[in-house]
Amino acid sequence: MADVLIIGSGHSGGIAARTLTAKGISCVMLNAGPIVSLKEDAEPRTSSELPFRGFRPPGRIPHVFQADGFNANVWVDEKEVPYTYDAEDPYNWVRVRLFGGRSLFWSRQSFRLSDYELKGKSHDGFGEDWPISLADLAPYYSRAEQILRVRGRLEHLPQFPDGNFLTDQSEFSGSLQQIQAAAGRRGIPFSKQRRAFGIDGLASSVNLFIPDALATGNLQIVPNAVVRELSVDRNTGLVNGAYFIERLTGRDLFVSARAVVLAAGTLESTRLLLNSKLANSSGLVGRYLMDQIYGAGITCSVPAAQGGNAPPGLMGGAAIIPRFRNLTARSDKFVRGYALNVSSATGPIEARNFADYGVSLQKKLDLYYGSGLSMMIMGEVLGRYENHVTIDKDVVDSWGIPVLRIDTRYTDNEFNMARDAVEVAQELAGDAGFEVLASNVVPNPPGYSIHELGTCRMGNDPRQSVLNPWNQSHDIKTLFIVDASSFVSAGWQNPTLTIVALAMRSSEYLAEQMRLGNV
Amino acid sequence: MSAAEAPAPAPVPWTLGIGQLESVAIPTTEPQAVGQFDAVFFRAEQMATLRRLCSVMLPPIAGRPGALECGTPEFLDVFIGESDEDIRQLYQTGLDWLSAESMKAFGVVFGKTSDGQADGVLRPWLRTWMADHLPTEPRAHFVNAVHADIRLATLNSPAWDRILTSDGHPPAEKLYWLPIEPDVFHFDVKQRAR
Repeated sequence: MADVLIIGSGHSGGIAARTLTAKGISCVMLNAGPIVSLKEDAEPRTSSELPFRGFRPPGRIPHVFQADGFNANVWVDEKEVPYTYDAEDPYNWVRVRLFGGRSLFWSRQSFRLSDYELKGKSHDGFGEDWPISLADLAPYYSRAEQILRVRGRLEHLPQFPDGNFLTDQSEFSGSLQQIQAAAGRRGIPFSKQRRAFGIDGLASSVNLFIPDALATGNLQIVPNAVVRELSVDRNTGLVNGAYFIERLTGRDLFVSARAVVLAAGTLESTRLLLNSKLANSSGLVGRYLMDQIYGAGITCSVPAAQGGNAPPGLMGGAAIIPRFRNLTARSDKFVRGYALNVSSATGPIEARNFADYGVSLQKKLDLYYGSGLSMMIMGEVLGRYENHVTIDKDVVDSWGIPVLRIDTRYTDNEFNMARDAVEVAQELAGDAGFEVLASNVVPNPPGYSIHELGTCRMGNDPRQSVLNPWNQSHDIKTLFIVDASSFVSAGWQNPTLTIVALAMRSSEYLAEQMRLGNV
Repeated sequence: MSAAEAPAPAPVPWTLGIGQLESVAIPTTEPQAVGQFDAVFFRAEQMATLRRLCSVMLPPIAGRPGALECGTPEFLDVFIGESDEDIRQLYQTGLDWLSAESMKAFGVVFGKTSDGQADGVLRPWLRTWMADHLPTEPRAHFVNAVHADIRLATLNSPAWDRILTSDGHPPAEKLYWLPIEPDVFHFDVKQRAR
């Protein structure tokens, strides 16, 4: 019997494995999908060599807007592992079951939550505070930033906490400096992006966490293992393992462990918990589903770069406008805040930025080539009880496991926030003398951000939360959930850095509890 | 050859010599180069409308082939025909509507419009839009969606790539992910619940 069973191999499962094995704890890691090999599973092709000329294969993965003909085979097939929802309230559940999960393909943006998010209720009265503060997480953030090799610039802003960075000393391009100046005139902060560079560009569980865990000799990895249910000791009521199905043969197996760490991703972990009918004395497993609003923003053109006349250093690069709303002054239209990703491009500008076609469109594409700049929102979605997931008893996946039903929708807070972001972006572009070509005030569907959060939130009160401040189930001390399902609020920040910090912290706590004989 | 030297009679291992496959280069021909094409999804008038749309929205420009030359209508006929119901409906309804509009405005079906007439039907519905956010008004949605699809299908076509290559600008390659250990068994599963 292993000491700890870890379900999932992404950032949260990987850092849990690295942390626990380093403390001498034996772990078995189950992953639903296969281990991927670049040599065997991918090859260079042109779009015309693909079955559908680069289009996403018809009838497949309709909710994965990020999919195209090149990457269609990395995403979970919606027919193989379906989910249900009300047609009026669609949800984009974007999943990867390959070993390493979505840590293979993430955007690398790495930001700490601030106490404006962790203590949001204390600040504005909405929702609940996390049971921990930035001071509790800071040591783990620093260690996570070191492993992930996060590069950024120190800003000394309370809403944009600085970290243990590889310092980015580079200059902004001229176009970004113009937006920076416009922002500065309005008291809006403007900073370098903060990105994880990992090793040779890969910042995945597979290359940053798993090798260290394997080197201890304390980790066994089982790919192609689809976990269908957690098991419970009938005498103690404690979780003591899991039933899983070999993906390719359908064979049923059972693995036992002293403790179980769920790291399958917010919705898969919650699905497993609901199917196992465990750890829900609060009635809140599945509740308070959140993500972040994406998709609203603008595309503009820098006139000095049109006609192929861009001087060196005018275009290129990226920046971030971190949250500046609802810090001191309060908006009457929404609570919490958003960030804007600012990108200056040197290549072609998309045809959809012009209401034209044919020869006339081509002339515009030639004229505007190399002059594009975009500003796009990343905004906090509020945690609401009614946004939730349940098990759809009428539908099963390809292995006979009941699927998730997702019921969630955005509200005026999100829509007003998106509108505000676009207005600010248009104002900054106008002030900088840029031509706004296209804009959109409507967020993409829930789930699009691939940042699903909540549904097993942490808290001090077992009646109001599923997990304690250490990501341990209030109900079952041998059960830990270390992915983003523990989040109490979403924040605007990409969640990966916080997921890694929380999972590291929780794993160290579990290790100590095992050493003390409490687990 | 003596009886002692003759190879053993069948059976032999069926993979005998399979390694020699690597030394054989087999040139291929595109199906449309040898086969005839019949529309499989769109009706004849809808195909005519789609062909006119292709010729108007992306004609040959500056020595590059247009959508018709790149087989875009034929590609979309297959692609849309295999797509989900909402996409199929969008196209069929949209193509029929275009023809009805041009008949109402100019007394001809869209497939027979002049450039000016086609522009008169299309231009009121052209919009700027951002990624994953096509206009929501149904007519604008269709016109801008079909324009985007025509462009993508054309710029990603083998005919386009051949011209790029002959111009000394071969098309860029990107990483294509093959099916990764695909499930090949279909289990007779019942709900596995406690």
